[in-house]
Amino acid sequence: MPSLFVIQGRDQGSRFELEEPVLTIGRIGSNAIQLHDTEVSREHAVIRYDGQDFTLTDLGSSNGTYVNGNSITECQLATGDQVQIGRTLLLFTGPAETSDDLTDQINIVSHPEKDDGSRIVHAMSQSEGSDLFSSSADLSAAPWLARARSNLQVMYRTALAVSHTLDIDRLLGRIMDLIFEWVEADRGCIMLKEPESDEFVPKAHRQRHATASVDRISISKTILDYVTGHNEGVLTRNARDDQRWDPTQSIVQLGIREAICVPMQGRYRMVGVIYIDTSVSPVRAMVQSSGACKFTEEHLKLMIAIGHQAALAVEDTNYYKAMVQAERLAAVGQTIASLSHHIKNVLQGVRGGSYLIELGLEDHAAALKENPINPDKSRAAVATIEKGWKIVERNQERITTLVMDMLTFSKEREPELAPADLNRITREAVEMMEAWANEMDVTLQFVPEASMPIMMFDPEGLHRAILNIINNAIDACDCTDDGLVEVRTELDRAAGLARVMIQDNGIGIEPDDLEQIFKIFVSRKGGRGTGLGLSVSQKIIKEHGGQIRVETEPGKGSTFILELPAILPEGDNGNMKQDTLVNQRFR
Amino acid sequence: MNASSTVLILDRSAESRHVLRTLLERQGARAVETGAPDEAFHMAQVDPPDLIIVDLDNQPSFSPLDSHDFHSVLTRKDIPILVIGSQKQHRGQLPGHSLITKPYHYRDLLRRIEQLLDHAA
Repeated sequence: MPSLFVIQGRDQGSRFELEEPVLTIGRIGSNAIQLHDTEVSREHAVIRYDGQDFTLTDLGSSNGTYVNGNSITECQLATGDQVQIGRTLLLFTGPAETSDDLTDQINIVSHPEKDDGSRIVHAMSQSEGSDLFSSSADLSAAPWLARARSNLQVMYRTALAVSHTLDIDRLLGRIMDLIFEWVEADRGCIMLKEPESDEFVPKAHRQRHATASVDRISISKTILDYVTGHNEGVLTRNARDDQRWDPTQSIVQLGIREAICVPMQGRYRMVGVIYIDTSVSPVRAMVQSSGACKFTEEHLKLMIAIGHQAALAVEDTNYYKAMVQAERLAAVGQTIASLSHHIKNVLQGVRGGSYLIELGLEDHAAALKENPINPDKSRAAVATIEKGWKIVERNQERITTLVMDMLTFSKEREPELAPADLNRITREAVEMMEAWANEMDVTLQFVPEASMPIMMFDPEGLHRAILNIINNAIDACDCTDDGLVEVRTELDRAAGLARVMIQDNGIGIEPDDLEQIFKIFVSRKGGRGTGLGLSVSQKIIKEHGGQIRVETEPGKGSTFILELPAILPEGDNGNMKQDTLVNQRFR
Repeated sequence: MNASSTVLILDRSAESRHVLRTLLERQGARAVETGAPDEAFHMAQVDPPDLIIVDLDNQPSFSPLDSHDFHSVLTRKDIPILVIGSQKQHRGQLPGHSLITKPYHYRDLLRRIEQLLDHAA
């Protein structure tokens, strides 16, 4: 689905799906995409889809609309474009592009002798790859080659550092280290631009010679402004000689001899700057000739490349963070939405039931007032009250189930194992569901295993797990004539497993849905389902070290098999034959 | 409420249908109910009711297409629809009809039903 995803701004984490052919973007509620941003106009821009392309048009907004940093009046959007509206930055994702099927052209063959006959001659690990550059060739013979090789190695290592960490601070520190290994800088820092305020915040700082007091790096605002304004890297060498600097400005007062400052230009914007300098003392400056410079143009080129690499990493990480945050928010939102929806339905049921009771009571009072007392009316009134009460009771049960399921789901817990009779636990669950089965016109049967030993289970948890699945099975028979739910228990001595099997002849599960059924808050029951039941059952069974298996055929029905390791109580061999027991387990 | 009025209830929850049906019958109206949209559609065409109550909140399978058919056919027949659901669902699926949002009080719902029936009569 094409979408705009807010990666910066107050709505960060929101995803707007572009479903309609025309969608307006603006600050007020009448827009399809509403941005909570005071710098966004009331009706700021419009995005149109002609079936092929998305076109963004500015609606004469006061602050303008920008795509990838360029002001636009109208622009066709491509996947990956960043749209800036006010202080909000949105990432556009277009319709999924269909790539050519290359399977015809590329074959993976298992018998090389048939097609190609290639053999592996040499294999190399990722870490070995970096040694490639430390060649044994005579370096003095080709200084240019040596330099190029060294530069390449720096780039390679920067790329490695970038690919290995998602922690920006650590990444920037690592990059600073690499720069210091490679160039004779005395001090350096990386500053990132705060997206909110556009201010530079120092993130990484290095100093070659540890002095007693840490040098404060004072970076000339003139340099910084030039770098950010022109989006160019600069190499400054004795600022006094350089035509570009106004000699009255701060550079002179700071007395910088040599500095390199490069923008960290990412895919979409400048995320910050990298700055290094060598501060030369007045004495050394007089001794040194102008040719003995530490920084060269080549250094500048490489620094620009490093800046770009680092910026890409910073952007990626920020984007990743926004995604994680969005997922978290979405999960919380979904939880609240699902729960309130379910609770709302329960509340509606309680209201329905209590209203019936209220009317029944009124009718009853009226019947009693008649002289003589009207027995038919009175009976009818009591019947209404009973109806109402049943509904209230059932909804009480639903809210209890919801609360118990929520509790089970929220707790990271060890099952409280106690000696228990699986047949009894299952029978109790079946009995509890009988009323519901009757009401749904579904036959509910229980076939227990003939000789079920006492085993170690969490009786309460297991009861809940079985109950939820029987409940589902009955619901699955909703539209089936002669609905039948059969619950069986079984002990597989050979495998050391106890099973509870719940089979229904209901609607079954479509293959597409099968992957979804254990997901929390996924329900196909409309207002009746919380989407918690099966997740809770699975959690409980997993806590027991077991699993739930599903066999299903759409239209024919499903069987849910709860499989549990059969563990006998300590020091109790039950009635089982001694030789089948290993470590108190059947296995 | 007109004693000869027929109300068609479309709601997936049997319980809600049951409550509403009891209440309507107590008032002397005739109530027919179903949980399936296509069945409701069929019933409405065979024996046009005086009012249709649709619970959109409990209808995940109620597609916009269904509602479009619903809407156009019923509007032609001049049958009012009372939608139970949220503002959003209402806008998207059955625009132009009366809406009551959940959770509602049955007293209010009955009053609304009465108004719609009186208006139609």
